[in-house]
Amino acid sequence: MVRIKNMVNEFKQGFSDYFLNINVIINILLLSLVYLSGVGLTTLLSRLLKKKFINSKTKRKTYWNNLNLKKEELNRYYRQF
Amino acid sequence: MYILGISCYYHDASAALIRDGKIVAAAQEERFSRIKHDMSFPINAVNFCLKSLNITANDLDYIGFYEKPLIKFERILFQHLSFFPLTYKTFLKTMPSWINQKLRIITNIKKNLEYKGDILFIQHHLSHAASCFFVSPFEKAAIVTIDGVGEWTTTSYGKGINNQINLLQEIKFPSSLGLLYSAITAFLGFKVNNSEYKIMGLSSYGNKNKKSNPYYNYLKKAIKIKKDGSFKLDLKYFKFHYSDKMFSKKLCDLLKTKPRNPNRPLSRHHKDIAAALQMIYEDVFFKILNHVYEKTLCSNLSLAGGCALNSVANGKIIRKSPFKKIWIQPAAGDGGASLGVAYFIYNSILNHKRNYVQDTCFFGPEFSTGQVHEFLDKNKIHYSKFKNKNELLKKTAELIYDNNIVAWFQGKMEWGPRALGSRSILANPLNPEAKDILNNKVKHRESFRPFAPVVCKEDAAEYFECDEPLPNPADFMLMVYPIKKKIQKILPSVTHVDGTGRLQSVSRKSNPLFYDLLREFEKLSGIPILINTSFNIRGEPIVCTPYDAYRCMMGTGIDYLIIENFLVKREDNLQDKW
Repeated sequence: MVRIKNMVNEFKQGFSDYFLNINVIINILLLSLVYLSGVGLTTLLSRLLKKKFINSKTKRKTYWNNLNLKKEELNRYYRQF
Repeated sequence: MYILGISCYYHDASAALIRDGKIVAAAQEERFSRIKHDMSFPINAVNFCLKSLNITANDLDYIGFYEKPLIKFERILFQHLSFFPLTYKTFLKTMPSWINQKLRIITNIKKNLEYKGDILFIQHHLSHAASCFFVSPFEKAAIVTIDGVGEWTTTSYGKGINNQINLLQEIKFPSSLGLLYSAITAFLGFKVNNSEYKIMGLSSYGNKNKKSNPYYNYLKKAIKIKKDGSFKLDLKYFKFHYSDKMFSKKLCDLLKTKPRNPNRPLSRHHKDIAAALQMIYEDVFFKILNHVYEKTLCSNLSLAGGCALNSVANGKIIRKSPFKKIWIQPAAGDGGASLGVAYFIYNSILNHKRNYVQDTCFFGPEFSTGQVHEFLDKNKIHYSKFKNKNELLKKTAELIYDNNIVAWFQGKMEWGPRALGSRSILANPLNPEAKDILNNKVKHRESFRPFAPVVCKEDAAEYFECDEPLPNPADFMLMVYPIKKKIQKILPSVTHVDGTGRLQSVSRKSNPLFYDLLREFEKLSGIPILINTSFNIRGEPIVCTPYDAYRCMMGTGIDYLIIENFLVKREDNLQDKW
């Protein structure tokens, strides 16, 4: 009886590991596709248009940026952006 | 009115509950899960907070989250767009957690807590700012927040007046003092987001002469610093903006040395690099403070963000900047932002008057004498019970004076990264070998790291060259001061190589039992000072429950455990059971 139980448990574990691996592979494939098509193409376009997303090379008198972050209306805090 | 603040999914997840503007409970998830710097949803910490008032999540008026996830996601996407295809590996690594957790925070909170109410999102640095201003003793103060990175901001400053905060200016990612510190931490073979404070300790061993320490000039090439304290990192020396590595090969070329292998011993040049980093940090930090003073004209300073835990720089603020009074959130890192978001909702958004000053940090779980008694009996642990408080204090002081290592488990657990007299390991500072004994028996930590002295507040000036009056952050072990020369010889175990000590001051009001213990020790030794180090072993969070405490004692060389009214001697108990 114990042997059968162990066998079932091992089978379950193996099955779960198998699907976990499949899950990882699918994730990698899908994310790679998104990365190459979504991020890659947008990058290409932005480079053609000379658009910069992270402003790291500007020469400035100061690196402080104005923020003026203070209390806003309540409904703005419901937003995640 | 109940407001719960939550921070999670980056590092140091935590929850904090306030009732009518007063802190009721606050704790970091790591203490419950036993995973250091646990970043997962703080379900245990939240449950503890709710249980401490016997309420459910639906009794809460608001839940606040410590950042704006979509703005942070925008920054992550912009990094991928800017550095394609170098970010491929990090994209694969981080996107699943963004899709499953970070972008589904509302669902996660509602599902985990069965909560139906309102959830508000406050900007990361505003949460930090609120955590150090609204609970400070100041009606009006300049506020400075410095950390690795929030959404976009890495450094910000502003002004707080009564129940409103205005953050005036910011420095944006990728220029970050926190990330610079982390990059050098990684270069020196230590763990990022964990060991930055070790580099701060190591810096005391290095050459602090800016002219003769070559690494100071090398490292300065990696950061452009303006007179107003604003700065920009030269990204060619770093990799953190597109990879999970912190520094590039060019940094090795710049420093003319290889990164340290964590298993290799520390050399002279590693110490000099640490010293150079600390000097650069202080250069920028004090320029920022001077600029902030000029812009705000406030002599009070409130400080938060992970970099506010740099106690070496903190100890110099009064001497090196125009600020006269300072207050620092004891949980200055991301853990403390949960408290900040709760206060921002209560004071700023809901416009309630401030009615609380945080003069303590004991907001965690506590265990009654009955609960501890039950635990000891249930596990057949040999113990003795103290008849009264006086006996407890006298016996504990004697044990410490006799050079025993004593674990001290009393009352509510501390909020923040430091053990401040609730979950502490105590030792005799007069014993020249105390540091080695603590390291060999318990902590097994790097030999260069000093242990902290805890002193009665009114006596601090007798032993330390500290600011007078002693700033409140010293209560939370956030200030390093020189130890007086004549005292250094008497207290070798708490004197760092440069003659300083990261003192913790204790007043009778803030922690009467701990204060009385210091006084009892003074009767035997003539000094009201003890070594106080966190009750944990290397790599584990500070203990939370009696089980954690007993397990820690039995797994180390701690001689005695004083747990509430009970005394447990390690030798009297079977070690192999634990």
